Amino acid sequence: MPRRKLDPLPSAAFHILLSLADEDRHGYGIMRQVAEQTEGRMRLGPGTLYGSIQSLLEEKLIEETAGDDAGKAGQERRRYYRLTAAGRKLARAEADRMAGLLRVARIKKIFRGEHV
Amino acid sequence: MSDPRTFSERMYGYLLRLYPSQFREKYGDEALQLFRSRSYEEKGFRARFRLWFDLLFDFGVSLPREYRYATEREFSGVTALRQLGQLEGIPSFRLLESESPSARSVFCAGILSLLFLSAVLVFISPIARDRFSGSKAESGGRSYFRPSAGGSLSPGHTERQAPGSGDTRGGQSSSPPDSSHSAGTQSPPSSSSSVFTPNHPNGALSQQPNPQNATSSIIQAFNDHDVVMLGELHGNQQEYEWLCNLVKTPEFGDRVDDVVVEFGNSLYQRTIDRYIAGDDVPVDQVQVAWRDMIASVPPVSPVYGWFYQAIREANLEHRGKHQIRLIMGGPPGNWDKIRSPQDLAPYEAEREQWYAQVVKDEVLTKRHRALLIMGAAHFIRGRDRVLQDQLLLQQHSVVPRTDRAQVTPGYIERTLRAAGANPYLVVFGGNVVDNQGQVDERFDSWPVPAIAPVSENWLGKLPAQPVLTCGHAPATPITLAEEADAMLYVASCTDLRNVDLPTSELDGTPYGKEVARRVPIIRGLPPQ
Repeated sequence: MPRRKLDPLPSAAFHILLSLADEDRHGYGIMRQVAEQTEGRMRLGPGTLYGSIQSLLEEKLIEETAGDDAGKAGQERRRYYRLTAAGRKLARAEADRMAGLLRVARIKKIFRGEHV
Repeated sequence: MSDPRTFSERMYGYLLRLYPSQFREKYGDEALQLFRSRSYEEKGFRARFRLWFDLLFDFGVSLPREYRYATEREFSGVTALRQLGQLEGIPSFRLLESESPSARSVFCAGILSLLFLSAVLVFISPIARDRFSGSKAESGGRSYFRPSAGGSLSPGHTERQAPGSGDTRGGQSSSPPDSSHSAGTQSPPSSSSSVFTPNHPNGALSQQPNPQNATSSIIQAFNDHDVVMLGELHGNQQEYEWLCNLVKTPEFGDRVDDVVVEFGNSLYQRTIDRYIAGDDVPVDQVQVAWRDMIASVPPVSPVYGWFYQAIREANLEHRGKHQIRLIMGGPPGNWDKIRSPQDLAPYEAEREQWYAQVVKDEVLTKRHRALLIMGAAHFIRGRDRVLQDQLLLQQHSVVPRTDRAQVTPGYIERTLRAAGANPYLVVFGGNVVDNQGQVDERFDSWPVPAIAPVSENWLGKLPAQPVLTCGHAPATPITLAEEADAMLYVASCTDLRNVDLPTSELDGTPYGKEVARRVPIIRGLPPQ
């Protein structure tokens, strides 16, 4: 089966990994968390969100977990997603890469004021 | 009930069909649920415009990618078979979708999307629909308003008696009502036929709301929502009679894990856990849970005791089955140590933050379903601070300045949504539509108690302030649909009854003395 491209890691996928760093979430929870952690700048639409989730699942960077929703009478089941060890490692590597870029930018005095 | 989906939901459902079948089958329901959640949250023309813009932009970006992916998957299967020599002599097709779209195609698709978006917005625009339906309604020349019997009436002014007046009207003892409990003698609503046209822009126009039995509405709401927020009117008899019956309904007990209440001091959670589990707990150890709540001007209404007891009885009835937990959402202030307004201030300042944190810790992290009950002023989305202040004044008699200052519009709902919850907000409302006492007679035919969604109907277009305060506050352009998802209607405003603590439980009792000590502290007055 062809794999979707995650190299380089798209911004949406990176934000999804970050949103799952502290707790398992369902799709809408991920969308809300990404909006919160980007201060509303990134609002993942359903297509991008679930397309990215599918990519991350295929790469085993996240995994599905059955929430307590399962088995309750009359309830719609929600899939919850959890960061895997590989996903955490990739997120850390991406963060390190960005931190490296940030160091260069700082040395080059790209920033004005008190941003960093 | 007919198809409960809104027009927007149906439109989005049709759009979802454009995705490849594999994607649709796996994520279609969740995408629809996500859309529903955003729709509940993002109301008003600008928010809706942004929502649809986001969705169509997302379509433009993700649709070709999903088709490319789906096609590659199919194509890779064919290639594999060909490599195995199993397709020799068998014709195969090259799919156009495997090609990347040209710039021209993308441009054309963008233009078509914008045209489609414009058409959708025009079609769903409340303004456009109002104009369309309004012209028909106006031509009928019908008005739905009449003056109320007593002019401007509010629940706080109709039945509430000052402590010590000797009147125990509403008069109920501390025992909870059962399903046969009578609402007591009540003045019938005005039968005045002096119908007149109020010239209110939101009166006769637009679609009919769908008031449903309040119990089944709440239970149904848990089909789509993990959290139902009920913005209540403190101490109201009809409301709490219904709530007591609601929690005893087997379907409610099966679906709902927790009930989180403002009228419960978190200090006493362990005691209440034992009480609602059926243990024998002395009544004075239970009463303190609601009598010691922070920032409510005492004496506290007995209706909260009814509610605690109703949950205990529901759990006893379902012993061995799923049990409802009653969670104390009030800050853990110890009244033995609160001796001045300064001692009280830290707890007052954190009421909503505390409540939201309790829900996150005790409900969301456990992935439970919960009914949240708190004064409507704390739950409404609060696009109008004046309305929140008015509700607080009405519900708390005289509210300390610090309390009003700390009410943050929509804070709890926003916090819960950010934590992944999908709340549904119901608020208590009445049938008075301005501060002159005009009654909207369309409520007369409603079943009681009833809950009606406020989206895209005349109910949602009513001015929020007078409806939520039973005519105590004047109308402003802020509508009910901007404040909540649905309205709870239990009786005409003229028939609402508050239940006060009988004077026999105050005069000369330790609690009566404690009430006298607390009132100046809560009101920010110097000690007497």
